[in-house]
Amino acid sequence: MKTYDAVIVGAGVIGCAIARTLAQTNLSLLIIEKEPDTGFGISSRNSGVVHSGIHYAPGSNRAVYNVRGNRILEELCSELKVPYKRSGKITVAFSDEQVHILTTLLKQGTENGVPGIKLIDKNEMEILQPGTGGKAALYTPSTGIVSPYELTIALAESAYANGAEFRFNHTVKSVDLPDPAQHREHFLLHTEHVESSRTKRISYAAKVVINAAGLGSADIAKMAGIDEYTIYPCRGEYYVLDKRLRNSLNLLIYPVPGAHSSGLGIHLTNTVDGNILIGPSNEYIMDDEDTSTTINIMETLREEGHHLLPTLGGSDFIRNFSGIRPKLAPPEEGGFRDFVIESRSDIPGFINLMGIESPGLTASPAIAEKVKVLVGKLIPLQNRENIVRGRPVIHNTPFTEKSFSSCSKEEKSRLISHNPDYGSIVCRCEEVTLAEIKEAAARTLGPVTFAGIKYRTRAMMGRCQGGFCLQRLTEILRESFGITVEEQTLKGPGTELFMGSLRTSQTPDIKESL
Amino acid sequence: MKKNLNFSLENEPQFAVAIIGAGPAGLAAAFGAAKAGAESVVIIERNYQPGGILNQCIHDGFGLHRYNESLSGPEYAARENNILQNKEIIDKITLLAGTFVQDLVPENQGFSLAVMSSGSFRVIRAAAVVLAMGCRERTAGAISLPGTRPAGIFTAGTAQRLMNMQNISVGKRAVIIGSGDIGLIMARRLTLESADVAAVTDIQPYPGGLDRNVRQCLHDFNIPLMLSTGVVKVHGKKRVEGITVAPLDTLGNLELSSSTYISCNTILLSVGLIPEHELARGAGAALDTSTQGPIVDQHLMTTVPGLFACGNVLQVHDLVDFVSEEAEYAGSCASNKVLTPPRLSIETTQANSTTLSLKVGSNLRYVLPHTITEPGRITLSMRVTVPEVNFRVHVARLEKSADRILLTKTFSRVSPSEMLRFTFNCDTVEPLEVYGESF
Amino acid sequence: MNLSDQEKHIVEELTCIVCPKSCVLRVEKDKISGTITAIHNANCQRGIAWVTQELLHPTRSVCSSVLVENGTEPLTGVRTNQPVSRDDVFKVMGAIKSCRISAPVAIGAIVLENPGGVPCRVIATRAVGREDRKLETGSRKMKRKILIQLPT
Repeated sequence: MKTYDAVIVGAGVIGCAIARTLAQTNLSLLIIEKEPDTGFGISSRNSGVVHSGIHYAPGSNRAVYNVRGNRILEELCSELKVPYKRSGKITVAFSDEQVHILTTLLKQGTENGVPGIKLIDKNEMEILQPGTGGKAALYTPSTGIVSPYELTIALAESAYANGAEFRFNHTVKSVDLPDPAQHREHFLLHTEHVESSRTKRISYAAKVVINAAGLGSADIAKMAGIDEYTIYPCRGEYYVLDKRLRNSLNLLIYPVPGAHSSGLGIHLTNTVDGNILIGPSNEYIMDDEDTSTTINIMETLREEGHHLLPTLGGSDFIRNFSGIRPKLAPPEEGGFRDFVIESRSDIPGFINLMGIESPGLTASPAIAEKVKVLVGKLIPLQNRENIVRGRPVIHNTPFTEKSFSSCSKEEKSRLISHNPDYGSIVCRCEEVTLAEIKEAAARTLGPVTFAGIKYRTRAMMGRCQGGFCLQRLTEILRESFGITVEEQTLKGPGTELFMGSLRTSQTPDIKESL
Repeated sequence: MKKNLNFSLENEPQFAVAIIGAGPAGLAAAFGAAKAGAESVVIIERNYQPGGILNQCIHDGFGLHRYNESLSGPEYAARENNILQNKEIIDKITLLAGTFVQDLVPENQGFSLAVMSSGSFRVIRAAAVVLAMGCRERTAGAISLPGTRPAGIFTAGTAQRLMNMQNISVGKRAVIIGSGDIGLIMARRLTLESADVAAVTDIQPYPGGLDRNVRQCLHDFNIPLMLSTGVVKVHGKKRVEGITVAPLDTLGNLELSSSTYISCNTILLSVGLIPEHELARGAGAALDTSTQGPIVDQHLMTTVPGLFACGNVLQVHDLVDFVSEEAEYAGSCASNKVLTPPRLSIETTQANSTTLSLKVGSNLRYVLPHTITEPGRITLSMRVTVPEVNFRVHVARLEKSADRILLTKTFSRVSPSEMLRFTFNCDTVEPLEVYGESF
Repeated sequence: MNLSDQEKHIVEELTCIVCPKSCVLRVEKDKISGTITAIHNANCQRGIAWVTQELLHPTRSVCSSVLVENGTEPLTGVRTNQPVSRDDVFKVMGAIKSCRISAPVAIGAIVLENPGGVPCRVIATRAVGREDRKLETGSRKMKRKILIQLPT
């Protein structure tokens, strides 16, 4: 059995950021992920905000890693060709008490090293975002928005191109610690792998284990004998609004945190793709896999949405979804606890990351830097030779940065004459072409799923939610990639969309039509 | 008819009339345009064959009015296609299949359409355009379907296409949300394919589809119809496992204490249709918030001169026979627009036009057309909001006077699922209203 | 014991489908024998005939799909050329499900005679052309669909 220098458990944005950074060293690296693809957990189910860092206690991990992450993300996204926009944000106060909170945030942000923050009055607010209510606001120009699922995918691809190995649909079931008495020099991770309805057991050996398993991190920690942490799932529901409203919002608008007496203090967030998100809510739940949306919260989100955007029509609400935060703070405590990023002294070689909820996305590259330092204390590190930079070629398929839909007419014409598949529209609402679908499927590191295609191309994310493209995608997966109708899944084993063929070939004679 | 998949056109070809969509509306519009004298008509269809939604509608009931027969969808489409084979018509028409209209821009006394197909991106020009793109289905998101989002949730039309055209079985035990005709047809379809339809639900206290379909699709198979019922939660992490529904009280709130859990592995949504209005909107046409289709005059011309609309993109129809009738008319109006120099300027026409308005609270959800520009024979289409018996529709002058009512139509029964359609002779262009009343 | 009128009869309302007038017919049936005792609101003989048949010997047309071999599409639509007894619908379906036909298929082509012993014909309702090349799985080409063959 091959012993990897480091095994990362979890291919969310944290795991993939760490993977990318470590893959640029000489370490042998394996990432184990229980889902069929990267980022299927909370990494793809959040607001996509690159926070400024004003909200966190100075000196805390959240503050330090957020500010550092914010600083390097723009360049990182540029290198990896991930959509990013520095949109800025205003945190709005509606009462004197809330204005006072703004001054506290200003002080805190300044101490955290957040650049460019300032308090603004109603006139300045009106210029930035006409029609906003409130008395005053804190303006943070360094806040940005990014596509969280594209970032996670790009980080994984970068790691892959630099030699990192990935195992998808592998769930870690138990961990054996290094034990000289049992002649075991390294960690042994025992996994279950599901493929074509069969379950196999496969084990991997590692010198260093990095626990980046998000909602599952407490379970992984327990497997290593670490009992002191509990992860409390806390669900946030969202509404996605139609792109036709994209120009209604110039920048992010958030209420003062914790100071709302009624409702959820709803955030309105632009996405880099031009949708608006309403949400998220905040609800502790028992089941960490329950990504339901609920009637009461959806109604509240709808009401607050109408309140903030009076021109909203019923058909503008195109989808709801929810994400589950891996919180360390129990329900009776609420609020946030600081990130746990530790190299365990009691279990040398085990690096534990716990409770990476907001601002985890922003902090991800900075956390990766820190983990590299921690690994470096365990194993001597050198830079890899010939580091592959940027967005690499994967499976002989180069990455096309500019989406077809964002091209000018001339560019579209040129693309189509160069590759005829750009002329076939697959997703009409988001203008995604056959060429892009094929590219995305070819570049997928693990098995191809509808959700994976969706995150890579935006197909099925538009106003018809797959009404036009699902049937086309089915044909493409069948004909161009040999994935039979029975094998096509929404998001991995168990989520097969179809139940076989309606009519199958049987033994009766073939009839010529009479 | 010239048909070519990889049609390569040189130098931005010009057509008199461009028709977007080759479903029943587009085919009839092409016929209407060519017959009325348009020299060149192009039909642009995104699928590789014409027929539109009819291709997946293998059930019968089409053509009862137009052909006096009960045909299946594809047979009706073939008949409509056949009409175009007439020698005088056929040479004027070009069909661009597998082609998508990416952009529609009014300009220079006409329109430019950016069209793309495999290997080709072109701009073609037309003096007039007829929109015939049909409609799309309302989604789970649009109804804020609560619960999880596992595999096994489909809109009814998508399920129909997957089953009838792609030979894919979507599920073995289904609950159908919405009792409109598509949902009812799929209930029967699934049952005949040995799947189990556990229930059809509807938030309204009455079925959304035709009586005939309730009988032949539900009663025949003892499929329960749960009216005034809403969804509490969809269950299932990976695949649909069940759905909890509950009755709705008179205020529209769920009575959770009376919830029922129905186990199933498939959920079909038949919760409404929305006209594909994006191209119309992009071209600057004003939309009617009730129909979600464009605002039109009696010639089915939108607020953009030269841009016409017909079929489901204008208003959601229930009988394809009416679609063909409406579309043929739209096509001929488009042709007339191109051939006849305007007698009056657009400004004068607009100043002369009068709005057909809807009396609020009279159980009419909408009336088409929205404006009348000149006297003539006008076809009015409308739908009621709730079912009613003994219903009259009046067309009357807006100004109150003793003899203001110009026309009255009486119906023994009306229902939202059946479009009302009748003609009226408009002698003078004056402000009119259409309203209903029970008697 | 004498039953009241109400208890003797069942009342059913059916919307007639014979012509666009769609009269709503009220039919009274005897509870025990099931015979029709009265029909109200009928405006013509055809309506009376239809509702009588619908209640006593209902018929249905059967519409479904049949597998096509070597076609540009996997299925063709089919229907019975005339309505069959409602009780025979599943017999017809059984024959349809196990049927296969090879391309090309023209609209109106007879696919089955007397399916499941039920007197009627099953005819094709959608034309399917012949696919000349065998489909290669894993190939990179998007399948081109041939335009429908129009009836000559």
